Amino acid sequence: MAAYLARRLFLSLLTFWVIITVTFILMHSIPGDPFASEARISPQALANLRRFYGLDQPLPVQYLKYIFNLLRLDLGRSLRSEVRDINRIIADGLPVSALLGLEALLLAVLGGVTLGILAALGHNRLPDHVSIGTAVVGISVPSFILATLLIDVFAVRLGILPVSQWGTWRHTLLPAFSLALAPLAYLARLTRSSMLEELSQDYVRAATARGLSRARVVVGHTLRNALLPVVTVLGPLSAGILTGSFIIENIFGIPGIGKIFVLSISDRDYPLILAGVVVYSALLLLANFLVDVAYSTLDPRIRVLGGAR
Amino acid sequence: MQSGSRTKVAVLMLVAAAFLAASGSWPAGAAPVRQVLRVNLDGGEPASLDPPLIDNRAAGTVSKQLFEGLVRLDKDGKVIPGVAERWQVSPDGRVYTFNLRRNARWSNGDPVTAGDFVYSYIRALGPRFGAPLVDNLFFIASAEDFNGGKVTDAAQVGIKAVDDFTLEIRLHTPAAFFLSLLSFFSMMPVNPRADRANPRWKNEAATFVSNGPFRLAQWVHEQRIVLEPNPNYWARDKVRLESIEFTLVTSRTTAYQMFQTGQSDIIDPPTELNARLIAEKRAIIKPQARTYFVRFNNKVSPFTNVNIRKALSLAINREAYTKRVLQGGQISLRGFIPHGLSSGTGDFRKQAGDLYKDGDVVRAREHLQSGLRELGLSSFPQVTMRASAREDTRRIAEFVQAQWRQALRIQVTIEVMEQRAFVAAVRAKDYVVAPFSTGADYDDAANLMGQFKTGDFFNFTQYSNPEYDRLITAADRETNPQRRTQLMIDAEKILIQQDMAIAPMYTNTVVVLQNPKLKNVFRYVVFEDDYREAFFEP
Repeated sequence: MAAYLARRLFLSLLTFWVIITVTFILMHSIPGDPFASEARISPQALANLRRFYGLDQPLPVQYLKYIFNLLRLDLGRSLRSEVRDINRIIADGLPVSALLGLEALLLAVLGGVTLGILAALGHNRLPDHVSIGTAVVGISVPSFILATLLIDVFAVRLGILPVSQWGTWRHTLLPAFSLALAPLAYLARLTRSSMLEELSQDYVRAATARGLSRARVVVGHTLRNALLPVVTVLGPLSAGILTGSFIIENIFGIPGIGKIFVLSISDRDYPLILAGVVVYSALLLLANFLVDVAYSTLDPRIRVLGGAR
Repeated sequence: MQSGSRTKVAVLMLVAAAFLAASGSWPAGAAPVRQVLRVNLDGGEPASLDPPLIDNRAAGTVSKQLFEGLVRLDKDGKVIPGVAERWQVSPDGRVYTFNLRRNARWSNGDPVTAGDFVYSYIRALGPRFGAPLVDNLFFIASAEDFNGGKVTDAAQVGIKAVDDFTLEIRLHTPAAFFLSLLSFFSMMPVNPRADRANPRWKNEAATFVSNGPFRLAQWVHEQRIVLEPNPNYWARDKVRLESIEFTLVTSRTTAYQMFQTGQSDIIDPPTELNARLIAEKRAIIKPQARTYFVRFNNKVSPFTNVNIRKALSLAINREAYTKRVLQGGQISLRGFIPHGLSSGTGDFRKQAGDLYKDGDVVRAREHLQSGLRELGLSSFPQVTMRASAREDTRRIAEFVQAQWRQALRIQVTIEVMEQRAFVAAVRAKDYVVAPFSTGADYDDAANLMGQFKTGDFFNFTQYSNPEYDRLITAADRETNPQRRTQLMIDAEKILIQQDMAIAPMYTNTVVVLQNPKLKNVFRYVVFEDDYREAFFEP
């Protein structure tokens, strides 16, 4: 297992480097630069600005400078803030997005898996229909519509939750729920089909025949197996939620990192775009790596066979 | 619980929720009359609050309350004393001498002196400083050369502290609007001692030093900015607010919901609600010195021909666009300079009048025939209009495309581009026809006219008429205000009435929702809102 994980780690680092390089090349190939706006900035001011941000140097030089700084964990300066460098922007924003994401993830996993199990156990009866109904709504309704509706009901009409921004646990409820509903729906369906598949396996009938209670069978055996696909999906799902949803942060005025990263692209804020890619891919690769570890724990076949999947 | 009762409970809950949702809005709790002004900044977190580094309205609004320049504007936009008590202008209009008041203070107690202004302007002009709107300072003698590195001795720049409280500014050509330009945010002073001791003073509230009616009490990044009255401000008796809280919510829908629940006092509503809010008289509308127009690339066929340009411009029914499509109080234009902008002797647009008839389809068709004949074409060629994906310009493109099809039977295709890619294309003159917008940085028409001079960096239209160049250059040099106004009016006639270099569309407006109990907010056509004397009535 150690060899398997070491190999995965090396591949992750290689992937990371390729992602950064490709992003660098791509973002400099898009037309327009950070100062292409309708404001009439004089050519002299433009030249000064370019020099200030190091954009007047040849691309290979900029690239090498960036990699060198990256190795020193310095992500550079953003155009977005003259006041905070990127390390600080991320230090300020990432915990907020992470907290929001964690809350959403918890809601999504607990809610989704529960709904999925209930649906599978109550197959083709009311619990199943409710669960599938929720799943369809959750996947179909765009998060920005849901968010605004929730604000309208709970903040404007009922006045029990704040409209926007960040600060107390109350501020986290509506955004977390808006962020959680789609993954919750997805996980519900996934858990349901996975459970149904497991419940139809031979070993279930065998265990029941040997006299195990239904509960024992479900919790002790089928659940563990059924959760494998869910665990696989959790990797990318968490990374996506954890770096924050642009839409949710935008609507609720939450000082997270998701909104900043998406805006950096249209702003052509090159260092910030790269920082976003660095953070997102690092998290994604880490999440996938953890999934690999979890896999080999959950499924003995992987441990034994050494990673052949 | 059995599934029967479980179902009943679920149904009851759904019904209850439906009732609550349908019962209409509950009244928000009555807000107490505290003199706390809550403003939402639609543009989000300012990149900097250091005046010369600002290039957008959001940061400008905050900075306006924090700093004070030599002069400021009263509620009607007239120049009144700021840090300077009085001033004299030399007969040739080139030398301004300001007498500073003795009791102007920084928030840390330092006196505001003439030397502070010299330091600040030289700092802003520094070639390594990176000030985006630095060319507003180029009216000062040798400023542009200093910024470009041609002049390295700061003493040669036309700004001098005669003594601690006397400041002399020399311009290289007279500029009638120079005084109002001095209240623009690029022209605010910074405290030299604070700046020398710690160049990062502007990053945090604890180290922030300013000289305006308010001081920076709190800056929680991406969340809120809190201002409190500056106890050392020379006119602190004019300030009635206890604090100003800026929130940074970029979603207009959410800002509107904050306004509805009484959590904010000034917001920009979603554009879809403008029509209704204006009809219900709940919104404040202010013309903004920003004009939208359709640019013709004058060097690319068929727009090399003036009749073609006139045809396409006259065929557009701008009234229909502003009244029925936009519905945001925008004003249709029959000239280039937007409404509300000064000519130096009054409102330019009022003085210049209308230069053509809106939606003049008959004339448009005649021009089209003449144009095609002159170009030797039997029919209008295939033309692609480039537009930004941004809503305001894209809608113009769609509208004029329909108008041209209807009135002139010509088919123009639209190519939508991402905003910055679009701007880059227009800058590179890589377009045939494209909607665009341009805004004034200070309250004078001259600000917008330079971009049509032959060879001007911003002349993306590639318009060239020596007569226009001559008139604008003469206007720039003219010291007599009436003659200057006339020169600019004549220049615009050539640009639009004679040559129709572009097809103007409308003057933009700012639509704002404001707490009706809030009074004395000063709003201007070009400059940021001034909250110095604002207060809530009980």
